[in-house]
Amino acid sequence: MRLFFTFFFLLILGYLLFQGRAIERSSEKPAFLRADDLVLAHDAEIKVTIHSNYRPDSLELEILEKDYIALWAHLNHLYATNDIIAGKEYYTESWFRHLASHFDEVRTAGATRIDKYHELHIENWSSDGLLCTAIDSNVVFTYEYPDQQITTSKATLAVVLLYQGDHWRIDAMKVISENCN
Amino acid sequence: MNTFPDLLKLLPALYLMMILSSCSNDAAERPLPTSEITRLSIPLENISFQASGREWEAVLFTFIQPLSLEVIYTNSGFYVSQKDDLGVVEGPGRICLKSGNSHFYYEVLLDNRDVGVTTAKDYRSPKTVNVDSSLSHQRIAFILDEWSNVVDPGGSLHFFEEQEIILTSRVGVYRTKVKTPLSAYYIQPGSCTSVPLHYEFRPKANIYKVMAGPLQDQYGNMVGEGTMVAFVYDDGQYTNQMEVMSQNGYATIEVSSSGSTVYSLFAKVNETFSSTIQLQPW
Repeated sequence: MRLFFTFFFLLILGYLLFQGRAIERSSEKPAFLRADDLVLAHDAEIKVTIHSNYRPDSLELEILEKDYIALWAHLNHLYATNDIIAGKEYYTESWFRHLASHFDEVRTAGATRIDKYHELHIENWSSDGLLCTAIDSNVVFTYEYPDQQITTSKATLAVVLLYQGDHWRIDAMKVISENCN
Repeated sequence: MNTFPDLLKLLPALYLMMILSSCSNDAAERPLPTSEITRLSIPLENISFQASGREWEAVLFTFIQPLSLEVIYTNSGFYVSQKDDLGVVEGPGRICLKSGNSHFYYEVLLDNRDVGVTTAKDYRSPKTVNVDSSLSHQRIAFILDEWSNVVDPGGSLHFFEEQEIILTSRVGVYRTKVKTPLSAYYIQPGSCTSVPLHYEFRPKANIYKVMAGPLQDQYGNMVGEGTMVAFVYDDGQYTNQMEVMSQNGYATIEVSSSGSTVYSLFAKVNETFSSTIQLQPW
């Protein structure tokens, strides 16, 4: 009887050990534990002007500025590499779906784009602080091509941002103009 | 025999020839588009280029994302075409043609042939309105096309609309778009403004059945389900309290009758009190 119980106990122990090893452990840390190297390496100036009926408070404004600059760090990375995953924390579901529909492969950077300056005019701010529409004017972009050629442009964009999860995320955009200097 | 020293003298010339030949292999000539390509409609129709060589890669840099293009060779060069038939974020873009280490860029302006399915977005805030606090609702509206472009409906660069809407005071779940549950907003009942009381004596069971209701807010909406109603009754010696939650605007308790004892009873919902009634079996 003792032998039977010992065997049974070892069988259960072996099963549990096997199960423990079989569990797939995700190596991806949750978003709030990850350091965003692209954002840390990025720096652009932003000036915000409020035209909306509802005004964000200082803290909300600070978060918006920080997230908007971070968003552009990822949009520039996306432009150069087609890496749609890196910036997914800054895209809404519909924006991500749109990117994913065109995705084929991540490429090594050819032409790159860097944003230097934004004048963000907040047109609408929802009273619950979850929606922001804005015109980003006088955006200064620098494009660098593989042959070392560098061009600068000024652009005006209309953007729709939604606050979802921990970030402001881009939901839609309209490029109103972009003029190369 | 002085062949070897002669060969040594020729080495610099050979080296130069090797460099020149390697350069000529890498430097491709800029392909010439056979038609005007400053403005392109997406999905791209075949764009033809005159070029030599057969190792070309083509990428369309939209304002947001690079798209690989298909390269199909012809006798005089090649043409490029889009691999899918989807739209893009409209605006300036660049076609990049690459052969070896040579990159050639062509500035283009992209627009979609078809806006696809447009969606009128209608954001309301707050999502939940309590009639006691405000019936005012903020509405922000705009139109998006299928490819995440904000649509300019009047062509006057007026993309966004904002309105302040006064909502109905009738409680309910409303939708800005009937077929879209996510567009729902909620009007909640306010607090109770009066507590009517009724009772009846049931001689068989020897109990008083006391009912408070209809419990309504200032606009006549039934108060929220589960509103706590406290019934306080006194037989002259002891005071007792029973709490029940309202259902469909009514709350009911049963109080045992003991002979000829007369109870005084009132009910309250938060700080709204009913009148005091006497419970007696006759």
